[in-house]
Amino acid sequence: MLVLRDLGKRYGGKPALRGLNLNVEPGQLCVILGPNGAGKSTLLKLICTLSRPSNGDAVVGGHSVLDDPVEVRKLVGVALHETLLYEDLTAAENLEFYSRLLGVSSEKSVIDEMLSRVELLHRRNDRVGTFSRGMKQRLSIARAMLGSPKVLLLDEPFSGLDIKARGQVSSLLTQAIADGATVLLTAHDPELGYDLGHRLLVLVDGALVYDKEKTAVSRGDFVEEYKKMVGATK
Amino acid sequence: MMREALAIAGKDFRLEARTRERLSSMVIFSLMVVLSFRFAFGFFDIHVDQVQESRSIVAAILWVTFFFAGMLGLAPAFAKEADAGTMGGLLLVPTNRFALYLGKLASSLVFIFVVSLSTLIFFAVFFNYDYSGQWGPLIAVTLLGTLGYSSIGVTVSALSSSAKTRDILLPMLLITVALFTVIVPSINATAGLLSGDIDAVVSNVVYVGAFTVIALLLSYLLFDDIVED
Repeated sequence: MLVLRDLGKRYGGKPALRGLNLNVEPGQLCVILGPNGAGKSTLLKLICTLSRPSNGDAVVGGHSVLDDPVEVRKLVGVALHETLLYEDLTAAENLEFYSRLLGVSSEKSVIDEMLSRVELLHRRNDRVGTFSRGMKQRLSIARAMLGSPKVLLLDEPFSGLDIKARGQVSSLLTQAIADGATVLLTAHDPELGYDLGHRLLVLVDGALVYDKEKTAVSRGDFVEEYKKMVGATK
Repeated sequence: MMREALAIAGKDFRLEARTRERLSSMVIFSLMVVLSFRFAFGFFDIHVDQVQESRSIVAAILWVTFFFAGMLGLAPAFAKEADAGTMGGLLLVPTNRFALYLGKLASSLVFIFVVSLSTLIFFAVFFNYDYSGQWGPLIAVTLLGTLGYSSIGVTVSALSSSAKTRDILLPMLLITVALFTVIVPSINATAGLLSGDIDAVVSNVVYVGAFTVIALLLSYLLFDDIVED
């Protein structure tokens, strides 16, 4: 579903990503861990065509981000650090707008179903500007999941969420995987990452330094290894 | 592509209806400019009759007002998206990103055209000016000129939106690119219309129309690169 071939990105001559190679199978949930500035967000932006690679290529569902970015955008749903939500529009209006933009159904029943899944139906007609950070985050994830994208790219989807909201987002991801989606999400917390992921990736200084199936490593060993990898960069 | 463009324009109209930030500031600005001209002429003992007689002055006052009021409408077209962190959502549109340009062009054109019509009325009121039954052709020339202006302005707005110096960059680029390609020919067309010089109207309308087509074509070819990270 997702193939990275020597994917790299430079900002002003400084490498942010260094020739990543990766092959992600359909239905996998890959957790990308790493310290701040490791290149996690950059990687997601390259895959969703928000940024252009300096070298290499990413292929999503058989479509290259360089040669066929429009087809790539049809396949991906994205939730970034920025929520991409309009504060002066209501929750329902935001989802309706993005549904129209994506060419998927913007019927009230569909919008209400999405709001219900992130437990925001009771706030459907409230402006997003009045929402808490956690509510915006959940709505942002609902926006990313509009139209059931084949690939979900989520940049630290659990940041700012309380335990209850984390459970809701985890359920959403489980449902998305069950529906056949491939998920790449970034995280800081190795324990959370281990619990969520099928496959664990670690980025350090723009390089992929760790890539293992969860079944190949115990939780405790992974956390220890992660601390060493990240600590080694300090 | 049109569906996405309409969605973006519709969102801009909805936000404007809710916040009234863009259009109200543009209309108030145009009113202030027309009033300033009125008082300035009075201050220098230039009688209203003299202004009315000079079709070129009337046309210039109108288009200078359209130009600067329009700038207030073009500046936030992309800058607000960039500031609010919503630009990424628009760039993820699953079609050619020219749809984003068309959507912003549609909303900007409507805002600038509405302000231009308001300016025509303000001018008629404060200068006691009679357009002599030329309302139809005048509105048509205004629409074409504002379309040309918007077609350049939206691209310039996108280009300058992420620049630190965008507050000065946008007017500089607009004056450089739009002044002689759209604004001056539109002044000439309007002056020709008010004085009954049909040849001047036709030649300048053709000039503005041709340049508008060129601006649209260039935007189609370059817009993706302009908004690319």
